[in-house]
Amino acid sequence: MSTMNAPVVTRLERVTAALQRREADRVPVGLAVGLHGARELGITLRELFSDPRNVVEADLRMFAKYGSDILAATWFAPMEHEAWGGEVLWFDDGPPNAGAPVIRGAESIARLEAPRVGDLPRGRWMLEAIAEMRRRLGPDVPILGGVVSPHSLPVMLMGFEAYLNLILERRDLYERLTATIEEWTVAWGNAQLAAGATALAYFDPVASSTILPPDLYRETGFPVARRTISRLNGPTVTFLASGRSLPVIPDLVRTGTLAIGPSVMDDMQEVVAACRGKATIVGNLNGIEMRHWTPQQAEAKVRELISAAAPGGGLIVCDNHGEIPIQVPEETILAISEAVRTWGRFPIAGGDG
Amino acid sequence: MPLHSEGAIAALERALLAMDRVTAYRILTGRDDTGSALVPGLDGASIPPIPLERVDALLVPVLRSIGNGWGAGSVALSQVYMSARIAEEIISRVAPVERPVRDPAPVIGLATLEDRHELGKRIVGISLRAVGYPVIDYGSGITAEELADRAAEDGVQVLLVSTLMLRASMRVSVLAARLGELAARPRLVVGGAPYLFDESLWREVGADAMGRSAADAIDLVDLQRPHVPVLVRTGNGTEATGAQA
Repeated sequence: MSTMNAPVVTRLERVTAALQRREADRVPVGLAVGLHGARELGITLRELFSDPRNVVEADLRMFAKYGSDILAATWFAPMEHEAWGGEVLWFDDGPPNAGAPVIRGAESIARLEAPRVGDLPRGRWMLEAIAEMRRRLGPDVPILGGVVSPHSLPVMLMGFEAYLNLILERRDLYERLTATIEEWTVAWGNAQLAAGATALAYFDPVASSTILPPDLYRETGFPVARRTISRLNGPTVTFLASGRSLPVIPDLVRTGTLAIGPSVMDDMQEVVAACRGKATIVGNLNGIEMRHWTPQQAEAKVRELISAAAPGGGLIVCDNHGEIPIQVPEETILAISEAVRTWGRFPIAGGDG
Repeated sequence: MPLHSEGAIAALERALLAMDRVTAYRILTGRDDTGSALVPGLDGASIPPIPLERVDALLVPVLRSIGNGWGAGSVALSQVYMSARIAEEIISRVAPVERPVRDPAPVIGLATLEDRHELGKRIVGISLRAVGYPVIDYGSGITAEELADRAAEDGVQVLLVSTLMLRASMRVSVLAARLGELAARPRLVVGGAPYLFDESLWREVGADAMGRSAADAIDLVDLQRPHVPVLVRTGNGTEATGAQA
């Protein structure tokens, strides 16, 4: 097909078309490579995330190098743990991690107050970084901010076991806790949108049927998500951080989210059927396995995904966690990006759509 | 209901998945009372001894089935956790002298390596204790070097290591190298999300095996033995009733 007179499609138009489940020129790709900025600048992750100028410089360099259609400003979730008074644990060879829980016992939940975005040094610089990237990239590049859902953040804030016990045995405290966190989530998400983010990743791993039975999610995380997402001033993409999504896709759609990140453990044909006409699929390359893919394997995986989920529009190629591990080589990321350009041009044969 | 019937196993599984402590208690003990000692707050209250064969005939296959269900996507992690917790709660309410333990049992160590995400370790620990295996718990956030040293000091024979983060999973290679320097190297078994997403990772880091769920740990700690250890009552080491070839 000749492209001589084809109109130039901006990244924003390409991604918008995917979110509207229609075809633009090709399938968009979103590469969540924020952690790789340390390698890009030859500094540690702690140094990278200590200065907004480092983050902006690294992200813009990688954006140009890898050809992503979305700039993922979803740098590190433990920032939200830190916002509530927790410690961030730093490593040279892996992502920062949340330290010890900060919520201990029922009394602590009753006294809990949401932090204010303006009071947080790291929150302020993350907003500065988003604003600076928006200024330098202009309006035609989607920037994806991110929040951890009020239903999932307590895993970091109080520990997984204590939180499961709360969900299962103290629903009154669960309601109180998530309502308090919701105020933070809404404020933090809207601050990112105001700074220049186009949309938000809504990280909600506890919504996954890997973690909770779907019926229990419908009683807990679902109303929280529907309420929270309705208060965010921009579109959301819900990621379950590698957890299975298929049984709850209809519920995720009803939260008002525009797109869903399924797990590589989900059956893609069933995901496509469940999302058809309702939600865009963002995924679902295996980031852990990606460490040792050859460029040829990366191309084959991308081609297989596009064939299954892209016909008709409605796919954004991404990893299945929302973060490409730092151990994934540069050449693999480049191969993924190149494969999308090679095999992602519409119209695409394959799939059942 | 016959002890070994599919019905008894299915009923116990349904009860545990539904967090129905009383029904689980009745099936496990073979009694008709309500298990009043299971009421929260009755600390120190004990329940009658559980017939030893019931642990192997009922609880082990049920925990295995629930673990397999999680792997297949039909059971959620919260259900795996609560099932193991309820089973352990019931067993732990048996008076210590009547509590079933494996004898002989390997010295089992358990840790969350260089990571604070300890739910996986917790489920493995309570599952093993529920079916009679004593476990040395080294906690979470422990470094590879420290864990190797402590396991050596304790004479650990099977070391179970849980990780959630990819980085921590890869640090198992440091642990494996350190364990390899020991005269009696423990069997190293790993588990956690990264191993599920990359089937080659456990070999890459030098582990001897990986568990896909907490229930796998029950089978994996037995692998080094010619026979599944028999169950005996803690206070009567000669009363072996649950031997399996």
